[in-house]
Amino acid sequence: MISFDFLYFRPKSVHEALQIYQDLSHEGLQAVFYNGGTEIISRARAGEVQPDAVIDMKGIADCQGYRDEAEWITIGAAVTLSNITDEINCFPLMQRIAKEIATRNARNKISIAGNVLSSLNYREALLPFLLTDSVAVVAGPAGIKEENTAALFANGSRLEPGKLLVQFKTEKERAGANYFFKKKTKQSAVNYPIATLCAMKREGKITAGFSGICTFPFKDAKIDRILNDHALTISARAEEAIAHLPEKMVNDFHASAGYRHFVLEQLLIEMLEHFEEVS
Amino acid sequence: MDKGYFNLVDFRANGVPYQLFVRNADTLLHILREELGLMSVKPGCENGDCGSCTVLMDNVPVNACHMLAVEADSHHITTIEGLEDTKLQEAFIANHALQCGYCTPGFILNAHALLSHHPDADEQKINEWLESNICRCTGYQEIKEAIQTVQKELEGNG
Amino acid sequence: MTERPLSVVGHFVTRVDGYDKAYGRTKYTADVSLPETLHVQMLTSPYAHAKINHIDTSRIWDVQGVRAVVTGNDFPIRVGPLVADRMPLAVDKVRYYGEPVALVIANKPHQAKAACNKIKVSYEQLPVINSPQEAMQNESVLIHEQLNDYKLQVEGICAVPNTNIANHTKIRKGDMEKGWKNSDKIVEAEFSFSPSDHAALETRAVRAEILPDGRVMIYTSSQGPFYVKKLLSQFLKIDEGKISVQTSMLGGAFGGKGCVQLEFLAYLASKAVGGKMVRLVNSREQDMVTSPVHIGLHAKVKLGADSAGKLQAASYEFLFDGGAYSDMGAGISKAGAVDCTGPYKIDNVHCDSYCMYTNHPYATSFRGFGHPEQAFAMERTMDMLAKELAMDPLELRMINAIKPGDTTPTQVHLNASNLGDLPSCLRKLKTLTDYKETKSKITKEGKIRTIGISAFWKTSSTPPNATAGVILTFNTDGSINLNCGAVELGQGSKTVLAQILAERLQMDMKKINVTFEVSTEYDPHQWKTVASSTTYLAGRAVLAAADDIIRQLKQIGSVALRCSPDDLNVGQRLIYLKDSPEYNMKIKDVVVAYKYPNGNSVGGLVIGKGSHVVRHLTPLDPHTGFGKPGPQWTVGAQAVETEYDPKTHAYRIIKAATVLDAGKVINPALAIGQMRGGMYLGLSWASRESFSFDEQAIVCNPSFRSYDVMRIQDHPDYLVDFVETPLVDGPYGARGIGEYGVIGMAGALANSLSQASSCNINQLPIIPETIWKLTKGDKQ
Ligand SMILES: Cc1cc2nc3c(=O)[nH]c(=O)nc-3n(C[C@H](O)[C@H](O)[C@H](O)COP(=O)(O)OP(=O)(O)OC[C@H]3O[C@@H](n4cnc5c(N)ncnc54)[C@H](O)[C@@H]3O)c2cc1C
Ligand code: FES
Ligand code: FES
Repeated sequence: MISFDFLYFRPKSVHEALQIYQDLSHEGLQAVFYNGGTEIISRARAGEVQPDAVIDMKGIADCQGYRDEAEWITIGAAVTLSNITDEINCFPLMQRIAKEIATRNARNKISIAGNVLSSLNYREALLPFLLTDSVAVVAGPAGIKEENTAALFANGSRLEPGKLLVQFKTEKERAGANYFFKKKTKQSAVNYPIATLCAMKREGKITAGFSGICTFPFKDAKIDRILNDHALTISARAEEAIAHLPEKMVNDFHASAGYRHFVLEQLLIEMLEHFEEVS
Repeated sequence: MDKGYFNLVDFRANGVPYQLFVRNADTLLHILREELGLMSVKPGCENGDCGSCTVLMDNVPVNACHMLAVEADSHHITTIEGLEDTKLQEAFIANHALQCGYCTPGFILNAHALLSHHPDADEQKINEWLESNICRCTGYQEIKEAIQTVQKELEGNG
Repeated sequence: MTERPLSVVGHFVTRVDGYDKAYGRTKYTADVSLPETLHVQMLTSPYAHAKINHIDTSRIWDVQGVRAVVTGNDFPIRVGPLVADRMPLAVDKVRYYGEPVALVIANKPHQAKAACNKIKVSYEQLPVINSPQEAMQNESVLIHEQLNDYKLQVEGICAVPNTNIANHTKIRKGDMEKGWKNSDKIVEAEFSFSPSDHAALETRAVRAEILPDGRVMIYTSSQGPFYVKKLLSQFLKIDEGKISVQTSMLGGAFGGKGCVQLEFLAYLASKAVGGKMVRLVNSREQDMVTSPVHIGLHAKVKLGADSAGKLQAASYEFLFDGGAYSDMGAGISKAGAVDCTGPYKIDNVHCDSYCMYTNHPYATSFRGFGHPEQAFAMERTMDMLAKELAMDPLELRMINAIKPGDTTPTQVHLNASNLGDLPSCLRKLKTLTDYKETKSKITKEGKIRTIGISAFWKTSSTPPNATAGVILTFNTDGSINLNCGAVELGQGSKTVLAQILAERLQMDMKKINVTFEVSTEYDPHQWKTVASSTTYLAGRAVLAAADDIIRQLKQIGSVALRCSPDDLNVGQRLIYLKDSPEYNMKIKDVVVAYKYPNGNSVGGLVIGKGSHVVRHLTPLDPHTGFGKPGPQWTVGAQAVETEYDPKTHAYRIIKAATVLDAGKVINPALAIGQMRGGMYLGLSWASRESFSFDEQAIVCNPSFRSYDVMRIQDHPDYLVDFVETPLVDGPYGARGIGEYGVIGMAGALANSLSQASSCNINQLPIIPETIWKLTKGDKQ
């Protein structure tokens, strides 16, 4: 139960959504963009957020559906994780990741944008976009811009207030690349990751994405260089990669930093061996 | 610009059309129970974790606690009160797939949607869908067996 | 009664509540919503131990719809079932994270919640006691400074002033020195696990109103409506007859709904608004930490055996983590002590069992009441001993299995009836699980498959005067209404009681209507629906009531059929002459007075009554524990098969098996369901359920999001079998079975994984990280 009241809007276009946001700001009211709502409802119930208004994005055609065109796949920001697992077959890594986030019931509501912009550490659905150098279509007061996801979400950043995610665009050829994915939880499958590792191999080069290890999901050029350094043994590469994490390993009640280290090391080795075998 | 904290929602619950003025901050769970009296929709966590509040929105299972009532506008909501198919209910009774019964409406609705989308769901598919729902009384095996019994019956008829 | 084959008892019968439940029509406490009801929200403590300097409620009136506020000083009286140690709302200090501090009553739930957020409490943090060991060692931090002044509610509780000990139970049996001397092998180990939760899917809920003439009406999701009445009457000083408690069906309980907590709060809330109907429903988070939890434990066990494996001596130290208030924790620590040895013959036993106060959420009964906890420690030590002796774990249990003629730790003499047959259970378990002495198998993928076993026993620690009663009335069509105070929690009691009645009256189950709701106004008194005691206590009461009916029917029948009552039988809805059944009359023509053909009537309404009380229980001697804690022991054996990945320490639970001496299985399907559900609960607890506390004793995971429970893909294959050694005074020989599936699961799981991982897994929950930590030592 949410104890406070808020205004509710359901714009039909991106333009209208931005307009509503701005009008509210001018009145000193704080609005949030709302997609699946699974996070906003939980946080509002817990008293962690108290927006004056929510702007529901699900009525905006541009944010809905996915298009499979010659070279690009376009995924609307409001597309649910279940839509992805059921339909977007040309992006298998995304399907795998989506399928292991939350539960099916929740995935029927969770949107891709909501997961990517979640306030949690995990934001696992961002990883496939990072690995494929996808483009995020972002709308803001200054208009609609296409931005590289890796740059846009570097070091855990999210969108500036007042901006909204419209779509993701991924090169089809990259989306279909050979991949590795594994998510490790404390025990039950339905839980946050203590370590999620995914990786893709294109043109002989591995690129890896991580969630649950640090306070944000990431891929890292330095780590990728290490992982591709064939002068090192596989286990040395894994060790070295861990030594170059962008942040201290998370140490919390889900798992100690030491155990995360153990898990991640095994995942990295498994991944490297996987690609070794494949090639 | 609408400045009110309430909105009109126009939706169907179990086939019956409703037009209700609801608080924007109220969840669908709250409205179904407190306004429509559909008490089979159970709160278990109000946090999207347990599935006991499962309802079908256009035949897709969602957690009614993780949805604002205003989002139901122009959709069809089904609760167990509106479930016409009784094979699952009978199978849950016959297989002792219920004890306290609190999780039961959620499981049956979810299983109903599963079988309508994937009549030949294998065990993995059953797990994928029903891991949304927590049961604390049975051992889950009974629930799976109940669903599989219905699948066999459907196969037999088709 | 003449012997005849049973036609209902022992047979598959569908649950009497099955249809309502499958169609979503069962009404649980929070499913009743009356328009004029006001709503209560709790403000709870953000600290685990802190002084309350000041509570400022002035700003709540800014919120629309607010009607009243209640704080601790409005009712500064300590309540509790065993030790009266807990104020319903904290006064002066809070002792656990989540403790209720204030109530707000408003027109709508969200208004009450918004107003709660506006209450300003100024706290001063105090050092916390974050484990039962700390509670024992750190005497500078007292959780209850005035323990000495607290009122003890029952005999036999030994709280120690100026310590954090809420109860100390001693068991002294035999001669320890001799026992250790006769031991060729001695093993010693320590065990621990944090508190966890029952997590019944229905959160606790209550409605209350106070009527103009002072009657108090309580509607609550309780396992003990009569107990609620008793405690409210005692502490609120209201005549019992003026309090009515009603309980509908429960959405699971597992022991957690036996505590009287929200009922006090709802009463205070209603009083604050002039007696209007108020409703208080726990959120999941409150249900997990504010309301009582499943107890934690730190245990030390030492076992000695001779070279043949015969147990010679056993000593135990149990430090139960009872949390901030003793509630039933003080009873659990005693129950764990009286059965500390598990189902084994040991002549020399020493046990000190303590219920410790800590700054954790407080504990109440959990399915198994001290036994799943005690059994985990004991069954692990048995396996460690087997290893020392190079003996098969099942064999070790077999040669030490307790038998008729032996005595329990509190020196109760056992016989076939009050004990049951453990060796048979062990033998059946062996067949059921295809148990081989060569323990581990390695799969193609390099995973290790092992079977761990455990044996258990339990007596129901009921108070010496625990009772149940039954009233039977008839409808004019001859069908019968069964009224009894047993609460339906999902365990199927209502069905089992109907079966016992149908059997005794030789009646079709369809002609028996069971009232699902329990009301202290019109149902006969029943202690509580806990301790697996319902089949026994209420079952016996059903039989007594049925016999009462039969006697009355024969009496009237003898007048109408002009014979002696002894010439008659009752069955198939008829009263008939034994030797010529064609001379008969329909029960329906008798139950609302029999009418002669000429119009005269004889007899009146036929109403049956019956009751049963447990007998011959005695309190324990405070120095030696000597005494009789329960009427009978149920025994059984369990096994868990796991597949463990030595590389990642992850594992799958493949099979879980239980063989229970049920005395008599009244409804096989329900009994199997109880065993499966019990195994599930035990495995879920042992494999993942636990509260995580930070250094300030704050619970980090008070919701299903991060409080892990088993879901559908995690369930093992369940194997269940029964042995039937009749309990002479049980209904049709039946023993209690409700709690038993849980008891040995943690031990069996830990035994299986200890074998597989070659390390002693003596803590719970067993998550991969637990095993990783233990194996790390070896590798480095
Ligand atoms: C049972 C359960 C288990 C979970 N387990 C996991 C897990 O394992 N891994 C994991 O990563 N997550 C997990 N989650 C969390 C889940 O990721 C979040 O609840 C979800 O991602 C939120 O998505 P949503 O569409 O519901 O977002 P919303 O609640 O609608 O929004 C979330 C955030 O995104 C912003 N936002 C949404 N759409 C836009 C947009 N178009 N433009 C700009 N901002 C926008 C919102 O303002 C808000 O800040 C779990 C959730 C549940 C219920
Ligand atoms: S109540 Fe909605 S998922 Fe638990
Ligand atoms: S039957 Fe009780 S929770 Fe499933």
